[in-house]
Amino acid sequence: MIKLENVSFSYLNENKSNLKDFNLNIEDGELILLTGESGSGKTTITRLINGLIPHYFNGTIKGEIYFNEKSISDMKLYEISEKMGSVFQNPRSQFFNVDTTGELAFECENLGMPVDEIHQRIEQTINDFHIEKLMNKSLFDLSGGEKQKIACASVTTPNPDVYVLDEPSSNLDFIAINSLRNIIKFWKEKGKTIIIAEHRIYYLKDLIDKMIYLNKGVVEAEFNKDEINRLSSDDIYKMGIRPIDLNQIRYQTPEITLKNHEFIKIEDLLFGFKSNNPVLSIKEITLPSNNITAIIGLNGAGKTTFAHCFCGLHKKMKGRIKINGKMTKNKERLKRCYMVMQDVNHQLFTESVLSELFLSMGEDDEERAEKILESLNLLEFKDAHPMSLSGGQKQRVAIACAIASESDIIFYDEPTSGLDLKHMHHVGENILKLQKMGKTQFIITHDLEFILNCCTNVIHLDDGNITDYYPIKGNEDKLFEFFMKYQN
Amino acid sequence: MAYILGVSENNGIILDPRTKLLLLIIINVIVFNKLDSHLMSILLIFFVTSLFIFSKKYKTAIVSLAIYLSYTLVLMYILPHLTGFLAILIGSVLVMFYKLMPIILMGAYFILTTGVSEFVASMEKIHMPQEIIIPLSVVFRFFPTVVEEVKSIIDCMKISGIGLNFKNLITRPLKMLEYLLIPLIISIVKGGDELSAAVLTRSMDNPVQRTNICKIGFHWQDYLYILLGLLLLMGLFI
Repeated sequence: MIKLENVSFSYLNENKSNLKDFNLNIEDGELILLTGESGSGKTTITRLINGLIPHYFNGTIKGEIYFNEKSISDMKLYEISEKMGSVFQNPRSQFFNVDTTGELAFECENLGMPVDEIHQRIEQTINDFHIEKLMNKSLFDLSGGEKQKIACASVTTPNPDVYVLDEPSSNLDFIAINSLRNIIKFWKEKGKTIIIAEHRIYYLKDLIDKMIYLNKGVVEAEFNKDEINRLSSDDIYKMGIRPIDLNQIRYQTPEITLKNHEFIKIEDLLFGFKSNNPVLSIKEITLPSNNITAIIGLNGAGKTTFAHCFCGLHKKMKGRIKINGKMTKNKERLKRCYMVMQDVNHQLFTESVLSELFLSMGEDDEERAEKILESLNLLEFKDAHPMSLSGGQKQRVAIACAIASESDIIFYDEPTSGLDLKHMHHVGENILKLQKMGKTQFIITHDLEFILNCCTNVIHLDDGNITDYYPIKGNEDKLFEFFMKYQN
Repeated sequence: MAYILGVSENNGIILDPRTKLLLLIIINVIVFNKLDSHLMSILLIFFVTSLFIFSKKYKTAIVSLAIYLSYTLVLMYILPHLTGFLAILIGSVLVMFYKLMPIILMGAYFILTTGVSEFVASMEKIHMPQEIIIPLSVVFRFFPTVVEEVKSIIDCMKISGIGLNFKNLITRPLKMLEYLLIPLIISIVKGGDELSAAVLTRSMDNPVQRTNICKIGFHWQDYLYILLGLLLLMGLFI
């Protein structure tokens, strides 16, 4: 059905080639997984297949790509799109309508289908995807997982033969990943051809027909169904991808000796838009200093609200937060805390890395700034524009700002979403570095592998309440159980 | 969220987008031709707020009326006592907003109560060229995104110690604007790029005649408001 012959590609204005002599033959109804580290060329392949290369992204292509025996470069983008549905990484930027129903109809409308038929197809998709509750809603009110569900549903209504997914699970929590899995399974049962680029692969395990492992644009290995089942955790670890089975996660929990067991004390914390059903309600909890605490829970459990309340961003919060035994006001905590956002682009304001640090320090102390940059391997970028950096480097700049502002409590909002193993470990190393500097850190995350490798304690949030708080060491089973509960 | 666009679960009585557009034009013509009539201004304000009430946006209606009333009070009782530079500054800004308020409110009504597909459907009905419809519908799509992004950036500014507070706004207003706009522009450009790619894989450029599942059409409320609008327009010649 789809055939790539000796394909090489490099993006416009880039010297290195993203893909070298790539060959692949995809049969009808196959599920192909493209995996490998970031920058290994897996996204490039999805773009070559769905026609975004060369029709949207420019560059030099060598070789030929055939779709139903026709060369893709001779086809118009809409001719390819009619038969192919594409789902992307970011749930926020792939819908054109503001309402869910309009989004489901969108491609069918573009294809000029009769209105009655579109209604029928929408009805069918709603049934297949069990999304009655999401209909006639503003897409802006949905969670990331719900948005991704709508994205999948809206490429299903035109009933294409092929689905192309580019890191679709990157921004999802474990429940949303599970429903993504069910959607992919549904497509597969309908005999659709599916191509997925991903480094988190556990949710696809028994669905994959062929797995292609790429490294720097070259195919390093290919695995069929049986070979995938025989892969050991060692093999996976060496490839730098995420585990194929959550039970096989390799980890080493960091050991930390605590100094101050009653560093933070939260009492009667209450926050909510309606007081009879608060978004967040914490009776009492005492937290030690110098710790790395993972905050886990489902979407909507109040994780981000908790972080925002703690950092002093919610003026209407009620309750007491004591640090070192002293009552603190919102304003004081705003100064003492720093938060590394999921979208770091929102917290880089200036034209160079150095001035970003000056902004956080409130003064132009170049010597100190350079010292901080050096500790995070950023010194060579001190004059670079923050926006010219890679995602991981930007995140490090934000961490550097946290150090520069002398905050001793640092929150992270899903710092490893969409990261491969190597980059996940880099983030972990930096967090441990900050721990040694004496910082107290909280990490909102859905990433079990990351928690096991980098955190010392866990806070469970459920429906705005802290339901559990425990050290990871000795309680690994509990943590595993929490993550496994939502897998089926 | 206050800025839900065009989601019509229980939005009350809403006009056809074409009627909204016509009324917007009528109100513009009236405001710019009858700048000095207080009576006309009051009539227009009631005209537009009634639309908000019919579409069950009571809060917006009340807030608009309250703002209008306080403007009127300031203009009548406070402004005459001010002198010098302050009077010119406050006076000109206030008067401008006061006069333009019907247009601003009508524009807000248009955006808040019209869905993207509804808008596209009605523009196609009046044979607006695609080159105009597509960029305009993207504006509709991005309005709530901008609101979301701005909220998030303002939080980030607070955390970085450059909160949008009174002191910072007075001492370094341009810097503050820069800190807000740079991340905003960057995330909109990035989002726009991703959106374009996504839309292209959904057959947006397909040359066949597009269909639309949105039911748009004129109802009694459209005829009523067009009639009222035309009556107001006739007021220009009295």
